[in-house]
Amino acid sequence: MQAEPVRQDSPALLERSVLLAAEAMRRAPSLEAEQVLRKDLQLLPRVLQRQRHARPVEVVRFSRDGLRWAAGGRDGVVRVRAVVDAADATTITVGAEVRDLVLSADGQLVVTASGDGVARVWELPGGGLRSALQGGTSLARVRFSADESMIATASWDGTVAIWQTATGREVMRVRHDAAVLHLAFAPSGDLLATSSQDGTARGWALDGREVFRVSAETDGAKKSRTMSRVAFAPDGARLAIGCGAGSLVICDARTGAVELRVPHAGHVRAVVYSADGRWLATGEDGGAAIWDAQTGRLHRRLCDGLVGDVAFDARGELLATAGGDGLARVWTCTTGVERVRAVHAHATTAVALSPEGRLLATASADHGYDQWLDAGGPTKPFHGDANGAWLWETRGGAVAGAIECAGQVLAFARGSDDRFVAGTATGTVPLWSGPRGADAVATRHGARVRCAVFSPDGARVAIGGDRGLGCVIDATTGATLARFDGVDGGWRGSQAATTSLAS
Amino acid sequence: MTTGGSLIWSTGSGAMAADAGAGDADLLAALGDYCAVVTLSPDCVLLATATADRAVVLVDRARGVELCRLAHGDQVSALQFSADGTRLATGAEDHLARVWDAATGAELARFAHEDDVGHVAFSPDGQHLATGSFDRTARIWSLASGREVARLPHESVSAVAFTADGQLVVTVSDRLVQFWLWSPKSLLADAATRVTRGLTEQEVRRSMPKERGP
Repeated sequence: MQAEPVRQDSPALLERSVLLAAEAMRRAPSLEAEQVLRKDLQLLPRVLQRQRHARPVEVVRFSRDGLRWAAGGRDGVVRVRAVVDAADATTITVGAEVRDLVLSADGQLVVTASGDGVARVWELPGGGLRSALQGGTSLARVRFSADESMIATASWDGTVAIWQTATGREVMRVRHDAAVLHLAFAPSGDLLATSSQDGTARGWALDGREVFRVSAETDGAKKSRTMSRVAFAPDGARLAIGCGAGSLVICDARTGAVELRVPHAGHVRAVVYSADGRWLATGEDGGAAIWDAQTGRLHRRLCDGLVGDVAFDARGELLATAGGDGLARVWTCTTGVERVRAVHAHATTAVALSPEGRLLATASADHGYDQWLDAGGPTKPFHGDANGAWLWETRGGAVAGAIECAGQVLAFARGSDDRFVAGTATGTVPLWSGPRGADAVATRHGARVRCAVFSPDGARVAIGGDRGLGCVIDATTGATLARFDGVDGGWRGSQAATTSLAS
Repeated sequence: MTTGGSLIWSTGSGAMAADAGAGDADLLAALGDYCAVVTLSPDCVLLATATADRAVVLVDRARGVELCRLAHGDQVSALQFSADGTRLATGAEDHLARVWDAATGAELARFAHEDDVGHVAFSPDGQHLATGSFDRTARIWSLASGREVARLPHESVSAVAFTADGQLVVTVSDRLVQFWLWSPKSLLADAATRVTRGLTEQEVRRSMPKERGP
């Protein structure tokens, strides 16, 4: 039985390890096989949907309400689907390879950036073309301003352009001296930051005036001067810039004054702030990392190998990383513990997490990552059937559900019909049904809870706590039905280890 | 656990009863100083309590007499009757969980952990026992074969239970209440919904032991 060593040697072999352990279990159930299967299943997420594409997919997005997800591929096809129903979908044939896309918050628009240099605004759910905006010869990125009144594009020919979303009227057009790889609107909407292969990241006012310029460090003569990514902190005070030379630069978002340069091992391929401004995540040639966004200090290194994209959920609790090794991995930010691992046959090129963190979308390509990443214009021919986009749960197997309580659980009981009660050290008393926490209510007890017992009919719960406080609550609503004080002094006095209530 | 309107409180220095119809108060007082762990059989006929001298005492509540005394290697910290009331499971600080015949006091099975066993729970059908220990595991044991069927890793285990249908084991560890698939059958069914392919012939040849011939 080789399942365990297989999993440790190569994280990509998770699925094979599950298959081998399951086969071993089927042939002769053993605790050894059970342990391997259980451990591996806990990391293996379930695929909910798959979108096949003829060519590599490089972008996936969720709508802001998390109800729809979109993917666009080099085959020129964009699909926007409901997360609960793959058949509820809009398919758009763009007519040129799709490099990037954004969804509007109201779910009414999708904007694509294409290899033919055109940003196209499509109306949903019909899929009709509203406007086509020529932003250069070959687009790399497209972004909405925070209020979605403007659309900005970055082009491989160095062009940066901004349009009004409603009218398609051009607001601004400026140029870098080389390809523009990334761009970001400031949260206030009056500043656009761009990063380029010309070795600069620049801030632009909307009248086309260059507000600031941050240059790549050129000490290491042979190092790449590319500025690969820009990201504004949610409060708009700082701008993070990822550099091809292998550093992360944090600067003042109004003046461009450099506050911090953090050296990295290799090319920085992705830089993202969490929505609460607590974390900054980077994807690099040598792995992924989470940084304290305030101090710039390293919080956790997450994995080895090339990571081309990273994405937080809206709460900043989870981070997804897209690996050139085909692994999309989801991590808990505070602990750096891996939560699930989605395995693709070849490279994973992009990741997105639904706002509440329940779903992971991944994009994949059937070729090595570097081939497409900085290739720019014409692309090499692709083959194979690994191109596509996937929708996964961010939950592994072997566990049917988990309930996190507000404090350490000191008392626990199950009533009839799988109604559960927990009493915590903080005095909260959550009540719920089943493994997913259905019909959950929480009530408060006046003291640290030491014991909890259901009545025989399951309708009520007796609670005992510190300082001799006891009470009886309704098992459905959590409402207090009766209260007893001063039961035999200390908490032990109210520890109703065997409490039976009149039925 | 039901009895017509009686209330039994377990305390650090003994157990007390209020409004007990059948003299539970006298009964518990007679048992002495240490009754921190007490449980009733499902029909409320029997009461089991751990005692300070590393034993469990089974009491007939109606008659108020001690039926038998179950000796353990160390202090007993967990007690539970099976749903049909015929067996009693105990968990003790001697690292053992034991199953006893509630009528005769005969030991039917014992299961070894590597540290104190603080929690025990019968499956609803009485075929399996879940145990929680300070050795950072919760384990599920088959009472038919005596074998360990599943092992659930934890930092600490502060409660174990089965769901009403017996399909899931519930464990409590610090702030987290987890619902686990535990049977081999349910793990295999879960795996089938997650894998996207089958084993190739080559993988089977390389990694699996040869099937025995006929």
